[in-house]
Amino acid sequence: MKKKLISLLLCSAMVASMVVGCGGGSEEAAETPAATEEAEVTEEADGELPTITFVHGYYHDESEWAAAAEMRAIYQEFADAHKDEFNFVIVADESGAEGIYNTALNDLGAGNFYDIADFGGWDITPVASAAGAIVDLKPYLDEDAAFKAGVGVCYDQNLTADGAIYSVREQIEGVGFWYNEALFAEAGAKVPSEWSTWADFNEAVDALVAAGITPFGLNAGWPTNILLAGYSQRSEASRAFYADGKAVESFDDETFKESIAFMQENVLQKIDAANFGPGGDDDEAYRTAFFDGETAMLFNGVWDAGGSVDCAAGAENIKPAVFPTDEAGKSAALLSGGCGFVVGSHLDEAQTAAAIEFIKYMTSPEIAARIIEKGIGMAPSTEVDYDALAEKVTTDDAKLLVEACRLCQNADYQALGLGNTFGDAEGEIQAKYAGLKDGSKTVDDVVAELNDFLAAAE
Amino acid sequence: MTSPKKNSLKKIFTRKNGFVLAFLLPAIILWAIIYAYPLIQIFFTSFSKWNYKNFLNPEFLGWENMFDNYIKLFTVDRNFQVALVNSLKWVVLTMCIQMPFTVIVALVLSKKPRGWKLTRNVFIIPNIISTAAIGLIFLNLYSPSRGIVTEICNMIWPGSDVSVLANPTYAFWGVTFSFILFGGSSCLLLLTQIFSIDPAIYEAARVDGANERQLDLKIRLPLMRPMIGTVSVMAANYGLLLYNEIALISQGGPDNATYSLSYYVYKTGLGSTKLNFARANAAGVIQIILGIVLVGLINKAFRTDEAD
Repeated sequence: MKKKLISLLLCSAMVASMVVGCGGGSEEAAETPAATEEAEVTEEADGELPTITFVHGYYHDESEWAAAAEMRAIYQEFADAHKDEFNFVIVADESGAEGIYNTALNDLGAGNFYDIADFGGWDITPVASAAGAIVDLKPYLDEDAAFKAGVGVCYDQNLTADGAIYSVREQIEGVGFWYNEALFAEAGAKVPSEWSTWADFNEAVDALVAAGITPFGLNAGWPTNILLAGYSQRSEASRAFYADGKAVESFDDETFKESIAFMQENVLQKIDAANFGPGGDDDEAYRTAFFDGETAMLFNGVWDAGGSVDCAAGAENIKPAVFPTDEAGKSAALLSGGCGFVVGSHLDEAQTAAAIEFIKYMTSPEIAARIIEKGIGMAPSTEVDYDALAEKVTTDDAKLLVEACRLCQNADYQALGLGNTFGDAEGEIQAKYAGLKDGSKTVDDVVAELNDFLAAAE
Repeated sequence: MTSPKKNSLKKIFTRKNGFVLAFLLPAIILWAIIYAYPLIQIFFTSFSKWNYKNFLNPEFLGWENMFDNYIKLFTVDRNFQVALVNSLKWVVLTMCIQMPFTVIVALVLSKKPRGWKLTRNVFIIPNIISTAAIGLIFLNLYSPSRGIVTEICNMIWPGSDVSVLANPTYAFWGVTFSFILFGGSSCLLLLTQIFSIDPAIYEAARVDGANERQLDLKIRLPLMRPMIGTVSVMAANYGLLLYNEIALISQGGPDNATYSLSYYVYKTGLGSTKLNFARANAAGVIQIILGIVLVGLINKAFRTDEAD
């Protein structure tokens, strides 16, 4: 009897804990910004107005990432401004852009798709368009010049072989590089703003090495890919091969071989192993080394203006730059739109119109300026007045960001980043850096192995 | 008069059997839905064209080309070939390094030397913390700028600046050492087996003049054989299915030198913009076949199903 009573008590306690636990969870969830927004919009959604749901990955708390809160505020302002025309339901997916992509893949398997979602660079468009699940935005862009100007490079970059544009973004990856002016001065090297061609880059690297200064930190991934992509913009022939990207049938191309040889001799073999990490998301030693004042250059995007705040290298020494070319005085930058807003094709006319209205709003000059001004990133819009912005912003890092964006936007040549250009081959290319660095691979080895990859992927 | 067939059915569905069947049925249904159906699907779609272009409708390659995915794996897909060789190497290494090491540790601990409980608990720690944490620990150990491995190498070989994960040869061993010595769970099972041996057997052997080494070789090891077989199957499968360590430490690099079959399956199916599910499934089928062969061979080698 005693045992039965204890069992009964334990069971009751367990059930009670479960109920309390679940209840608490709901309360906690309701306190998060995303859940609050969701709750608000659910109430709003009760009505006869058309309703669309927008899913994004800016779920972070303001204390964790201020940009996320700003983005949510931008979305909410749109929803509020149009509350009499349609219900714009905003949902923050706490699994981020990757989670949104994975959910979309699962949904596609069941014949469903989001109303509208921001994929944050995860390219769902090939599979979603093949399944006929998404809207071609090109007709809407072609009929509205301001809209087209707002999406900037995204228009050309996201134009598919069949003449459709399935996605545009309000932010792009603007990439040049950063340098430490003091270290260049210490080495007596010409600073990047004075460079005319890549020969100046080589001279500066040699001067830095001779002065005992590590020119840059790299790894078998992102920063090295940036430099390879930047160097690939040096001549018309090289740009043409690079632009072929996913369509290249062979890497046995003279300009590509020159690029790889440059990477091996003038880049990878100029630094010691301690400054060459294995790559991957956690490998950011190259950034740390730059902001600690240990290396002279950092190959990373405009967003790293924020890294200059209170850095050991001295914020006043950090300067943005874009890549030289072999055409004296001409410069190049990487501007990658990638996959952003995608609209489901299941929406009716009114819902689709609401979704398009939202994308127009997000790519408008006002929002573009706000994105830069608030230090969120770079906007693709060609209508941004950088001079006015430079006057308007007050903090040093915001001024750096504006300057970096201006340099990228005004570069003579603008190209997609390596990943957006070569797709899966990017991973194969970056896999070769270690062998190129230690000399176990030749340029011809790399080309042969990349061609094997293409044959296997066919 | 009832027929013999009806009688045998009646026998099967006796009250006791029916009771057993009722308990087994939910498990069988779940197994069929969760394992059998996907396995069959993986097998059939490995003979199809199935990628981002026909995401919703896999297309059979036709009788003439039905093995195309398998042929490509073995002829042109270098990453698969590297993955296959690596996975087999890891199976062999777990059998040659992890298992003997674990058996020796279990034998030593079974003698209950001073501090054996602490040693046992320390030995089990890597098996109870997540592979994500293990991955981060090894990432830091191998970091060329802050890792202790580079420092030790520089002390022994000044100026070597070894970057474990940036060199294809070192990276393979870097990933291998992130799991190969962690046989804590196996050690516990082996210890349990040793402690369950009847002490009278030791007494009898000692009376006959057997020393500790002879007790290990002639009594403990033979009696541990079925359990060694079981933990060998578990360890070899871990080597064959290795994924977490690779995803966390090396992402298959450098130069794809640390690809495993599981990582290849992920990268080909979901980690690629081409979403080549058919090729990934073909690799999955090969992995399943290898796993079955491996279990069979190990069971046969250790005669795990035979009673002593």
